[in-house]
Amino acid sequence: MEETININRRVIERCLEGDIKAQFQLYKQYSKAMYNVASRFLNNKMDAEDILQESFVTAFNRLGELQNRDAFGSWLKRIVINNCISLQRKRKIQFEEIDEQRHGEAVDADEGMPEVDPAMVHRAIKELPAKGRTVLVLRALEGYSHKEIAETLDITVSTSKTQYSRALALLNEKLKGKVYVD
Amino acid sequence: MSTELEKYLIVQREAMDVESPDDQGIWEGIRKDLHLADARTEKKRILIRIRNIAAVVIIVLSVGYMINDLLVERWSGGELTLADIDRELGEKENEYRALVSFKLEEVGSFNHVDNLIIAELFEEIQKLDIIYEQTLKDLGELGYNEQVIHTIFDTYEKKIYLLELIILENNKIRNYETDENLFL
Repeated sequence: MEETININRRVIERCLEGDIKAQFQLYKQYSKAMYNVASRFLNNKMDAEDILQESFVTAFNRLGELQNRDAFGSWLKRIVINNCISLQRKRKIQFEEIDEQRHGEAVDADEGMPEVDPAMVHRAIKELPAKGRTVLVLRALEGYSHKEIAETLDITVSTSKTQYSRALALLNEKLKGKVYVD
Repeated sequence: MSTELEKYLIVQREAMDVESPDDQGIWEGIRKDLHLADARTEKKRILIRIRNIAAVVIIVLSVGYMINDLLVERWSGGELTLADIDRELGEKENEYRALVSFKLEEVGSFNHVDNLIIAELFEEIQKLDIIYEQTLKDLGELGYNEQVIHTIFDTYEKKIYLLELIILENNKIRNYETDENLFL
């Protein structure tokens, strides 16, 4: 672990010196994870690729501003998420809210989770309505608090909580359907 | 509320990264953008450098012009006073100037400027003014110089003397006119 951090630091140092090979190394290390983050937010291959490119360019151009070199991954992910949200805002994507009828009952906390392929969960998340999907990804996968989500998306904490709960229930339903139908 | 699904999402977070981007195409785009950004930065840096050089040139020219204006033109143009060299000399010069100014005011009210003697005296004063101007130029070029300073005060004294002569001559004419009127 310590060794990985040191390698990363060295790679970042080389990137700061304009070393293209180091930049490519950093890109390869994080591209897949960041692409999947963008893809879950945007549910569009081309948009996700554009965001990935834009985010890496921003990161390389502003690498000097990064105080903690060990936190490159989370810093880059912040850039990706912010770019995704900006794109959604720019395109004035109407966040479709998940209403009570669509997701039915709230998730049962005690209900067991069947063995599901992560790829299937990934696809099911992408099928969720935009607003619920964004809140769910931020909360469940990226570890944002409801307060942070509210500030980021310019919604209330209460809306964030509601949307999260509904998105989670809808995802649960989708997965159940897939598991039992398939 | 922590559900099984939430737990699953946390545990399987990395396993859900199943899609792969078009690395080659995206990397090419990144390189292009970075190159463009570099080119833009370089261009910006050059423009800033040119602007800075231009600013320095303008400042140097302005300062040079000001120095030229202040030191050369002003000193050689007769605006220099002895006060610029020494405070006491300046005070002395101011006293002379005040006296000259006072006497010139008195002379200015006379009606006999066409009198031959007075006209000659005025001519002498004009010559003194030329000498004075030349002496000030010398002062600008030489700076503190006793000979020059002496000449300056000398011209003041002579000018005052000539003005007094004009006043006397004028008084004489006026008295003569008064006497004539008395006899008439």
